[in-house]
Amino acid sequence: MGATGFDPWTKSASFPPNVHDPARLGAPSGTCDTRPYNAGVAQAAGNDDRALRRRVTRLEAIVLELAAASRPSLIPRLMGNEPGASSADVSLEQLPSGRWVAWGGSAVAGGATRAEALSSLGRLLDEYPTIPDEAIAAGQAIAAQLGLGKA
Amino acid sequence: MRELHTDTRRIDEVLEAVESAIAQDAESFHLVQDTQLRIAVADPFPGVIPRLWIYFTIDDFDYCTLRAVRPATPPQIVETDG
Repeated sequence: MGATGFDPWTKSASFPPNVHDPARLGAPSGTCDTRPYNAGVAQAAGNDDRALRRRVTRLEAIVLELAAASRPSLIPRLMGNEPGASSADVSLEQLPSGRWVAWGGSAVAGGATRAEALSSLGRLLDEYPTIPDEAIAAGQAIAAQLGLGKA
Repeated sequence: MRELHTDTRRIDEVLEAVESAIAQDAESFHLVQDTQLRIAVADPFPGVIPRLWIYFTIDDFDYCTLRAVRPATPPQIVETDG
């Protein structure tokens, strides 16, 4: 898995618990971990972890986008039971304004419909499979200005 | 906001979406390495509003603070109130 040696099936604390349902992802039995999301572990895992999570998110977005286009009735099942539920790394929510927002990882996309929001999210993840170095550098500069370095 | 785009209503819609996502799932957004900032990448209106990098912090269990909004690409229209 790269320089960090991160193994997504055994080092799973950086994922939301429902990602590790073996029936959904085909992970070997006995390797699942239902500990809560742990941001500290996620940070320590580094770039490999981020790239992997974004790939999973992109796959989820593609599946949901296809379902939204072909069989809208599948969406509530894929997302959980109703809007607002999460499936793996992708979440979908209707705003008070009536617009929809879909997000996964660090990507956020909006749309007038569920399909549009999911489609935008899928496109965004295609174009930004990982967070650009420029965005990280800009964030580090902002943090330096604001005194928000690593705690 | 007008430095990002003249269509402030659209920008508001973008921020509304991002705020909603952060409010529900702030820890799912990635940390910027070696900082306390987390980043959201927003792409709501391709060709209309520039893609945005939005930086925020998780202050405590109940509060997050939006710290900065940056266009990911140079804005096509730049206007200031001055």
